[in-house]
Amino acid sequence: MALLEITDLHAALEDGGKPILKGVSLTIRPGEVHAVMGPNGAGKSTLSNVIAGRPGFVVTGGSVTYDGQDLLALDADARARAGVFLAFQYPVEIPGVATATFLKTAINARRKAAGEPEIEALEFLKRMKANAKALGVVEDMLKRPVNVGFSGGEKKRAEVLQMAMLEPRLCLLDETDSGLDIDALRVVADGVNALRGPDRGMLVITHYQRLLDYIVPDVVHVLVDGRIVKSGDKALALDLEAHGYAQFAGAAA
Amino acid sequence: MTETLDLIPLAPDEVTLGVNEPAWLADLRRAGLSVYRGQGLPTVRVEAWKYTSLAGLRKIDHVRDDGTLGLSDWGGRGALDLPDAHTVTLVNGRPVGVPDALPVGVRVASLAHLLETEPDLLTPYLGRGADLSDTPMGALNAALMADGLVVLVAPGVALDRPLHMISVTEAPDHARHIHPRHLVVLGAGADATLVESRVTAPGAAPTLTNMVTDMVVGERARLRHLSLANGGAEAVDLGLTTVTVGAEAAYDAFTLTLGGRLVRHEGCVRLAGAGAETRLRGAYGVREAQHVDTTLRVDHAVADTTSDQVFKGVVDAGGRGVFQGKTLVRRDAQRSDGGQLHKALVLSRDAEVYTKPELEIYADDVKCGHGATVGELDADQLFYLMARGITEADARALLVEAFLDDVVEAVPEGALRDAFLDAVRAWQARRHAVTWQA
Repeated sequence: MALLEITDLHAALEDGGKPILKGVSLTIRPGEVHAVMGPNGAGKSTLSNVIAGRPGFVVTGGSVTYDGQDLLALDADARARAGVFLAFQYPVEIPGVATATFLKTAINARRKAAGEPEIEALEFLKRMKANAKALGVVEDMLKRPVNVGFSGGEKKRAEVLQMAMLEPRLCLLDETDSGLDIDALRVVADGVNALRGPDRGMLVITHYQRLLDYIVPDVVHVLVDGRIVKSGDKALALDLEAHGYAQFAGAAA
Repeated sequence: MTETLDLIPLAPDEVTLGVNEPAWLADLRRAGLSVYRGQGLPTVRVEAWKYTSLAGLRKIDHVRDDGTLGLSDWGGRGALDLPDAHTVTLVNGRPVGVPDALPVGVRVASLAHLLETEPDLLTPYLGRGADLSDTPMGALNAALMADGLVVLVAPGVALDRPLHMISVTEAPDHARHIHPRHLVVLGAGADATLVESRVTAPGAAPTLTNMVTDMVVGERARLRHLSLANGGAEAVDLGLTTVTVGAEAAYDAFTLTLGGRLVRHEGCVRLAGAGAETRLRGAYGVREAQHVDTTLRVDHAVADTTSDQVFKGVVDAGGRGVFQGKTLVRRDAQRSDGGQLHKALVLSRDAEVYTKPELEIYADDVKCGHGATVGELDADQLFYLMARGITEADARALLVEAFLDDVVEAVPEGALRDAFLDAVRAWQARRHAVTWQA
C-alpha cells in the first residue's frame, strides 16, 4: 500500500483566495524519498502545508490518502499523531515553552493516542541527548524556549531533532536547506539520511538542487504553477540545475 | 447581628467588639464608621470603582460573621501545597492556632489576642497605612475588624522558611461578611517571605471578605509577599494591602488570582525612604462570570526610589479583567524610576479587559513609563504545536502557561514556584473541562 497518495489535489487560500494547487498527483511508497522542486510561487510550500493541515488553505478538489486513511478528514494534530511530520521552512518561536518540555509533550501526545504509556523520564533524556549530539545541538538549546534565540541553522537542526524524536512515518521537509551554510547543510542532511528506512517516506521540498546532493531522492517532481509538469529520477534535478525552470513555462500555461 | 451591608451598625458602640479596647482603637473604628456612613458601598460612579460594581452584594442578605466557626473538614482544596513552610490557618479571618518552631525574634499571633493583651504593641501601626477617606471599604474594615494575623519580625532577624497563611472562608449556613485585619512589621534589616492562600470551604454560601493588610518594611529589610486568591464561585474577595517601605528596603509582591466570583486586589505601596524599591508582579485568570480587578498605587514619596509593576491576565468568554495602575512621583522624589506594564490575553471575543494606567509626576528628573497590550493566542504558534501532535486544548494550555511564564518567574525558584505553577495547572485543567470538552 502506498504511504501517501495524492490524487488531483486542488487547493486555494481560504476566503475565496486564488487557487494555488491545480491538480497535483503523486504517490510515495514506504522507503521512498521524493523531491519536489519548482520556482518561487509554484505552490511547493502550500503542498506541504496542505498535507500537514495548516489552517488558511481550503482543499477544493482531489484527495490525500495516508496509510489508507483520508488525511484531509483529520485535524493537524491528529495527522501528526498518525505519523505525519512537517519540518517548517520558518520554525516558530514560542517564548515561555522550554524545548525539552515541548518535545516531551509532543511525544506523549502520540503515545497517548496509540494507547501507550508516557515516555520514561530517563529514556526521554537519553534519546534526546543522543539525537542532539548527532545533530550538533548543544544541550543549552534544549533548555531554552522553543526556537527562541536560535540562529537560522540552529532552528533547522532543531526541526530535524524533533523529527528524530517523534519518529514519524511521513516526513515533509519544507525548504529545510534555506538559510543553511554548507557545513550546517551537511549536518542536517546526515540527520535526515539517518532517518531513511524501509517504512518511512519523505517529501523534500526545495528550490535548489544543492540539498539533493546530500539527500539523494528516488523520484524528483517539478512543480510549476500548481501542477507537476515532470517527474523523473535524480538526474532530473541536475538537469534543472543546468537549464532552469524556464523550459517548463509553456507546460504550465 | 443580622444587618445587611446597607444597614451597617448605626451607633458607634455597636461596632466595638473587644471587651477592653484602647481609646485609639475606638477612635479608629468611629472614624471608619463615619467615612463608610458618608460614602456607603462604592458604586461605579466613584472613579476608583469605575469598572467594578458591587451592586450584586445588595441582593444578598449577608450576616456579619460572629467568629465562632471552627475549621471544617475541608481538606486544603485550592490552597498552595507548601509542606515545608511555617503554616497558620485562619477561618473567616481568625487564626486557628499559631505555628510553633518559629525562630527567635519572629512573632506570629492573633490580632484579637494582642489587642486584649498587648495593645500598645499595635498602636504605632494599626490603621496608619491608608487614609480612610480614600477607601470606604477600608474604612468599613476599620469599623468592623475583629481578628486577623499579626506578624512581627525583629530587626536583623531572618525568617528561616516562608510563613504560609491559609485563609479559609466558611459559610455553612448563611451568607456572611468578614473583615479580617492583618499586620506585618519587619524591623530594620529583617527578611521574610509571607505566602497567602485564600480559599473557600466547599459548599459555602455567598461570602464577602473585606480584608485589610498593613505592612511596614523597615530600613534595609526585605519582604517577599506571594499570594494566591482561589476562592469559590460565590466568593467576593476584596483586599486592600498598604505597604510602607523604608530606606534601602524592598517589597516584592506576586499575586495570582484564579478563583472567586469577584476579586479586587488593591495595593498601595509607599516608598518612604531613599533607596526603597518595590516590584509588584501578578497574574490572573478569569472565566465566565468572574471579575478580577487589580488596582495598584505606588507613591514615590522621596528621592531615589524604584518601582515596577507587571501584571498579566488571561480572560475567557464572559470574564472581565480590570487593571488600574497608578504611579505617583512627589515633588521631591527626584531620580525616581517607575515602570508599569499590563498584558492581557483574551481567549474569546466575549471577554472584557479594562486598563487604566495613570502617571502623576511632580518631580522633573524621573524615569517613568507604562505599557498595556491586549492580544489573542498566536495562530502560528498554535499550529506549530499541533503539527507536533499536541491537541488543540493542550496547545492552548501550553501557550497560556507560556504567556504567564515571565511573571511567574517573580516567584523564587524551587518549592514556591512549583506550588504556584501547580495552581496554574489545576486552573487550566478546570478550564479545559469547561471550555473545550463542552
